[in-house]
Amino acid sequence: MNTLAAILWKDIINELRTKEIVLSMAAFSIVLVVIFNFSLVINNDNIGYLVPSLLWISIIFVGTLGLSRTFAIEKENSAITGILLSPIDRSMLYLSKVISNLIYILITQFLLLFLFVVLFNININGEVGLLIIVMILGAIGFSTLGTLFSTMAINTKLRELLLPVILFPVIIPVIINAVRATSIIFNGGGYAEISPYLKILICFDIIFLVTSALVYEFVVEES
Amino acid sequence: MKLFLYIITLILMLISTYAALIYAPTETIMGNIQRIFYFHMGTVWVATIAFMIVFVASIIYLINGKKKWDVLAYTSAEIGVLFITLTIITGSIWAKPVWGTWWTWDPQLTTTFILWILYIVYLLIRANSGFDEKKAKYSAVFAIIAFIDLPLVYISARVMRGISPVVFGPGGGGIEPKMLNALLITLVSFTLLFILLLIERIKIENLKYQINKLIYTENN
Repeated sequence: MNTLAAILWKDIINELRTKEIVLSMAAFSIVLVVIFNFSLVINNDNIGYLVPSLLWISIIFVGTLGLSRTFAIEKENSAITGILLSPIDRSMLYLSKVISNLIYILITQFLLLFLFVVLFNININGEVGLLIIVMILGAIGFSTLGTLFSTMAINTKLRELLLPVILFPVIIPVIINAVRATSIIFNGGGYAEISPYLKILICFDIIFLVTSALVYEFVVEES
Repeated sequence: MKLFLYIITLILMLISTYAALIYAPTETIMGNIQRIFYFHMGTVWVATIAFMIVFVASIIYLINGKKKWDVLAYTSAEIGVLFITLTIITGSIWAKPVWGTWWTWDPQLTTTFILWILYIVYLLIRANSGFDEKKAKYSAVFAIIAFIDLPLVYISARVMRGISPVVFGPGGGGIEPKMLNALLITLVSFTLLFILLLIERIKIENLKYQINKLIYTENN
């Protein structure tokens, strides 16, 4: 547990000093929302269906940007060698990276949600708590596999280019369920309607958190 | 032994072609187009076996690190991609006259489509991961994740659509005995074809490995 906290703390300190990941993710989010505003005709009829998918498309695009950065930092000056040389469990390294990715994604996620709600004038129908749960579950699913695959992608010939290609098809269950649940909330549904989607999201998160933690040692050893 | 396998496969393929096109009775509602169904089932059967082999071989490779398991996973994935492509093509040809459309986003089709993409990505990872051992480890990790992902894709697509046509199984209705015979012989012959392709492909892969080793020793 100490090692996890130490690596996590190192990442957070590093980010607080440079602010490069969160700032570029935030800037990209704002630009995306502006582009959506100009390129789509959004009116009261389609807003409840269109905005959830736009929101999640933005989240995975912006999230991918951040993911490819978090491990690239370790490659600079071969910082990763130092971590790998220390006698720590590889799954601890994985978990700490998942948590730091999760923090970045959550920050941009709520920024995006705020932008969409304010700029497109969306009615959350009072289900703020449920919406936050959906957001968090989606972000966990995204960052578990995202962390594993970004470590893989950074070590291949294609580098960051490979990450979206290998990540997007695998996280389709997250996208389907998160978009559905968000859409139901925006259209005035409650817990009863979204519970099947929440259950699948929880299953996804648990399955891939465990599997990825187990196979992470095979991926990170090679760098 | 291998010659024997070749001959048996050839004969069975001819018999299954005869069985599917002539021996099996014409389906009353769909007509002759239903005959493509035998090959459709054959290809999807082979693809399923192939991807299961990829999954198991990948796990064994990560545990013991022996090269032959990686070769098995890779060659099997390649054949699987070929046959799942054929499945999608034959399925579309069947669906156009019967359903009136080439493609719908129902849970089975969605899962097949994602399956197809996932294993193409698997081959892409292999092509871009540099040297041998790294390539093998990365693709094995991806194969495991991809295989576990598929049931979740299926469940998600099913919950999202809320409907799913059941072809076989409970509620799907029975099957004419002659049709069943044709189907079974097709499955057997396609399985043999798969084994044959797999053996040949593994041989090519091993030859490639030997040539690379020769080039390497020549250069140093």
